Amino acid sequence: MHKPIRSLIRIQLKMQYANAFQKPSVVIGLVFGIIGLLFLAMVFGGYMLQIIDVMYSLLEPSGNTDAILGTLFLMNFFLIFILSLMLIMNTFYFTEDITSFLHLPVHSYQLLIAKSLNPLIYVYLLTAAMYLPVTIFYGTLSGAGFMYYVYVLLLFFLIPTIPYALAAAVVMFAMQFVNKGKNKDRSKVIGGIIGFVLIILLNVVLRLQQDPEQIAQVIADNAEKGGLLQMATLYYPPASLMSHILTTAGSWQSLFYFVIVLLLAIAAGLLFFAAAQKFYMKGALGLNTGSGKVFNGKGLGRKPKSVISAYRAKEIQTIFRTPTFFLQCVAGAFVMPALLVVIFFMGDFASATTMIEGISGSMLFVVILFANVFSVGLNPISIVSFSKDGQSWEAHLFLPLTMRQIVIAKLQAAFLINLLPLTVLFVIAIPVIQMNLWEALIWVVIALLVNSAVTVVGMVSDLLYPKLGWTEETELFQNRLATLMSIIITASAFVFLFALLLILQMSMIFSFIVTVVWISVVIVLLTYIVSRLLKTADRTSLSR
Amino acid sequence: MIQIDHVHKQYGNKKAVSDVSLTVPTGKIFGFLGPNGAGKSTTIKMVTGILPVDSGTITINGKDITSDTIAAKQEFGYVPDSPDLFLRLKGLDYLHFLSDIYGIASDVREARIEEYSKMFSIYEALGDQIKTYSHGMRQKLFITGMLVQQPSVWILDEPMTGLDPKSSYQLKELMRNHAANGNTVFFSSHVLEVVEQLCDEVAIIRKGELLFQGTLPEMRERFQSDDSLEHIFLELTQDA
Repeated sequence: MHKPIRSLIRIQLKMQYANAFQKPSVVIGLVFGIIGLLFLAMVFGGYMLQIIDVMYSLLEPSGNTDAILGTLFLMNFFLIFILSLMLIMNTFYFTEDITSFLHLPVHSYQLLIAKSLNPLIYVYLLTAAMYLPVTIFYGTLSGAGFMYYVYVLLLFFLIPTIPYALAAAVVMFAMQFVNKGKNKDRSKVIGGIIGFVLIILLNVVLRLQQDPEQIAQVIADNAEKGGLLQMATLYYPPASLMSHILTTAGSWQSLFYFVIVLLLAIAAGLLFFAAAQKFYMKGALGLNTGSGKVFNGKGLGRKPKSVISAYRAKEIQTIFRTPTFFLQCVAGAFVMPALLVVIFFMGDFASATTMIEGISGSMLFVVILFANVFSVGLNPISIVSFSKDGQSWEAHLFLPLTMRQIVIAKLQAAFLINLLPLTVLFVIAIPVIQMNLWEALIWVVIALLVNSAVTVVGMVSDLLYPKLGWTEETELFQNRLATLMSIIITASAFVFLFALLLILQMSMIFSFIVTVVWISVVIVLLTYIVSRLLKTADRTSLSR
Repeated sequence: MIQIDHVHKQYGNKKAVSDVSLTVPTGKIFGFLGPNGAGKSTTIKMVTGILPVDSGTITINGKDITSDTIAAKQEFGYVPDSPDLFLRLKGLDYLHFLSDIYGIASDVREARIEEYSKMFSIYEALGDQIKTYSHGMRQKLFITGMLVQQPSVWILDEPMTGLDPKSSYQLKELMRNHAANGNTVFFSSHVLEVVEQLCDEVAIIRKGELLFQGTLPEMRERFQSDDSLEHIFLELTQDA
């Protein structure tokens, strides 16, 4: 490997992962993360394999089972392409460290190969999760030989190269126009929102056809007519080549196809190289974060604020002006209610209303409670309460601010931002539940209480596992034990309440009283924990 | 006035500051010198309440930074050595934030923000995020913040770093005026010429221990040297 590339990769690895595994919190987080991924893989994998099983039995009589592999490679291509678009945009253009490399005497392609390390880890993880179980399962169904599995492994390494390189070329080509002289922060926010829309659309597509047998039947019908492989060949020729390699594994023909795929992967590499050399610098050098406007004196005179409201305003300004915080905590806040609607009702309010009408008393109460907890429970705003200050935390140590003022202002800011998803949910709920005034009032009180509890839970989690020493804001939302801790505390606090409400089967009003008492106790207990944690914390790093 | 009394600070087995006692009087500009890693920043961080004191006491205008923290912090303004704080706030938002924290009245802050930001040529950039500022501009913004606050004690850690000659001159003038009005200016610096022109008194620290405190003539007399401050400093701080 070229020496500059090796050095760049080494420095990237050091910056992102050095000492990471020496912290017990990271190791525990990793273990829980792997368990979670395995659980998801089992659920999703089981669903996928069920489809494959049905498809295989439907297609076997006509000898069209290779369509399964063709479909798999086509799906892989699209998913990796979409994932790569988002990852590449972030890694190549929006990370703060990119300017540290631009002055180095290295070629764009060398820098971008090193920068690709992190996105490629995600891309290969996705490929491993999607491709390996299906091909191995297909191999057992078809009684494939040794060479089949050799090609499965070889193709595993080649599959992501083509969509990744294509996505990189598309992004690099587009960014030279999009970002020239434009605001980096704004582009980042727009890119992130497009990402959220894609996630919601993906959920809509998944919701449209949920029955595995139905999906298998549709795909099999198409395959019978030769439609799927044709489609695969038309949109993405390597998909059919790859499926031929596996179905004819062991023959000269498969080796021939493999060489073609290998050449295509090399061509993709060359495309990446050419795009990097020709377009990258034009896009990257055009980025800036300044407004370019000259200050005209507006806002020079301002009414004085109390310490807490000045601090709260500072918190909200920081969240809204930092693209990563804005996307995760504000724009992302709208995603949860939207997903809730998509997942449960697909926007079909009529059937949802019918369903809700059948529910009454404590069950309806549990639905209201669950919807609110789900909407705010996953919003990371309070989980980054302290950590988002990063190195600015030092200023809190020399400014005349008490910890009480800081905690109250941070809780208020998180509480206010968490009101966004709750309001969206409330507005959606009005036509669905057709609430009367009394029910609406209960909803509002519950939403406010849930919001308070979840906000304090997030702060406790952040204080237990703070992360002030970050270089990129995105680090605060990746692999953090604080996030896991927050989910565990929220789940523990509310699962007990849900169980209690379901077991006792009380009327709406008694459910309400039990909930208010329970959540109030939780809030008081957690607030006490916050005060203890702050007393024992080393103020410089907040760690104990 | 800043009073540092028998202060110790240790990181693990390493002594960062050992039994340092200093008096920074009012009406004087006090320079704090020492090579890199000598304990200057650790001492300043303890004075400003960023780091806790292991033992000893520090008072600012008679208020103890450990036991009467908030009152002590109200007494001083601080310009840190790396002004990379609150990067996502706009310059103007930062100045208003600081004014709110220190309770500066609306009309007073408006006039001061305008005066000092124009003096340091950052007025036109006040609508931009601090993140977009150069190092020198960030330094000027933090100095402006301190001037808007106008506390009696100024604590500046390497304040001249990154400043252009005009701003550097203006800051020196402001420091002189502030001290002449009976206030305290305590600053650390590597630029010995600045210390020589500006300081009424200096203290030199090496390996966490105070080597000298006094006026420049006193220093020359004590070390029986007519050499420049640079020579004396180099001799004092070289490894034994």
